[in-house]
Amino acid sequence: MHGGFSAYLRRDLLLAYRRRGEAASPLIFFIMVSTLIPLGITPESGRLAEIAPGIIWVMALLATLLSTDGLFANDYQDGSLEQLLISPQLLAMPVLGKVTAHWMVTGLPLTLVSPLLGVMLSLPQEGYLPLLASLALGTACLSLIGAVGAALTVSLRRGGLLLSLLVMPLYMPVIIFGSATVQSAIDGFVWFGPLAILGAMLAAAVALCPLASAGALRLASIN
Amino acid sequence: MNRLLNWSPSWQWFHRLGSPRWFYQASGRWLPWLSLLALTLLLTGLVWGLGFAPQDAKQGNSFRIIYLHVPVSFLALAGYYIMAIAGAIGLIWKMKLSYMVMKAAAPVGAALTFLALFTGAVWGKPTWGTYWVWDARVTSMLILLFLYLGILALQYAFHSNEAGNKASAILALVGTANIPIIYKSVDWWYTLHQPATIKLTSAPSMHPDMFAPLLVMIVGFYCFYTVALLLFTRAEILRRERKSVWVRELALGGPAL
Amino acid sequence: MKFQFEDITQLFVMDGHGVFVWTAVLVSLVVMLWLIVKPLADSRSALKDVSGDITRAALTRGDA
Repeated sequence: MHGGFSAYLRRDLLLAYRRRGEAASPLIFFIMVSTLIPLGITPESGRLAEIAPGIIWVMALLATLLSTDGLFANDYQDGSLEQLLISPQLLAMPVLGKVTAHWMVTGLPLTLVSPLLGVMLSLPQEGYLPLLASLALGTACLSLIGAVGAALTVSLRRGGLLLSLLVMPLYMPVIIFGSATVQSAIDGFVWFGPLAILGAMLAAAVALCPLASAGALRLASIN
Repeated sequence: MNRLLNWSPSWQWFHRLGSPRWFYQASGRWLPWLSLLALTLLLTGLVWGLGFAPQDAKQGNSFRIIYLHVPVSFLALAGYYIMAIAGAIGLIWKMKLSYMVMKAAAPVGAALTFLALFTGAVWGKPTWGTYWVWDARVTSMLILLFLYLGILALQYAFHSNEAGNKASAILALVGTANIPIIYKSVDWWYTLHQPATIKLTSAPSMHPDMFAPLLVMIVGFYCFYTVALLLFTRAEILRRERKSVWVRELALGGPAL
Repeated sequence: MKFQFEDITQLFVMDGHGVFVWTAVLVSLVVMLWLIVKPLADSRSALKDVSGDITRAALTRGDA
């Protein structure tokens, strides 16, 4: 019934746990780079507050992008991807399991740490809950969309660079609505609208991205 | 299915269409006429638009850039769909030639997207005072350029030609599904930040004297696109089919196509 | 339908807008020309490669 979803979810979580340091680096990146903003732009609270939603979202996006490369790369290198490709279950389910694990190790921590960054970047009061909600949904979308790119580039040398190039245009709607959710709340509008659209994107991504990734993974064996 | 193949001319046509050799020969026959048509239309449209169409009341003479900007923008977007459809046909029917067309469509589309952005920027300066405006259409066009560049990069990254073709086709299809989403998102984003502006890229009801040359340019550009696409496809065919007899004969200056 | 400018020089100046219009035209022409010339050059070089292959194969076989 699960067709490999929970098996691969557990496997990837376990593997991430064994390489805790590596798994934590996107989070550390996220925090450290966010401190570059005041240094590079302004420490002034008022101006920071204006750009805080966008900055946090862009940083979250970049941190996710950094870690997406490793989604299938390790498996490809040690041969377990080949095993996955010849196994009898529908490839989309293990892929979904891996992506979920990826999100739990990357997107979820980012989401949980974001209020801290909000404080550092003078995010107004009203922005915190929308920030959490939009990042929770949005980073899941980013993981799913990133998986398609990771699957397409897994067998390439320097795949990481190409991955960023491929996946960036596809990320743009997510960041538009994610950032807008927070900004609307700060401006005093109802923020459920953009959040609902993020939710819809997530629903579509959950349905379609595993299939596209699975199709792309098959190419790794013929490259 | 066999019965169909035997008596239905349409299946025959479809299968013949899959042959690179047939395509090379047929396109060789059409190209001179198509090129002539494209050249005539483009020259006519350009001279008409630049020299004879009445000036725009608000924008003055710089509106004449529309005769380049609009056709090129249409084709930039249409070209992406053509590329994606060719990719889909290649994936579904495993037709080599379709993949070749898909590969050819990428540089043509990317170049036209660049032109759309460039002509748009040059048009923007005298009209709105700035070369670049982050409005919905310009931003979407920029993202389209990125999509094209991604496909181009992916095409050349694979060792195996077959894997590269399939990967590009998958990416093109994913991109296609995203284009409406991206456009709508950017449109929404833009109205969010510019609630009460005049519609910058308004398409006002054009005077027929201004519209007619535009139509000529649009058709002319479609013909030009076809010519360019055919040329790039032919080059790809020669590269991929280099081991076949007909290409070798052609290389030795053999039977005229 | 009449010619919109007094003379040919005006066609290039266009009341100051000429720079923009003609830059757009020129760049477009350059790009369009590239889109024609590049594939033709590629085709030519592909055919040259093939004839090179044939020649080399003939030579290694030891005949003319």
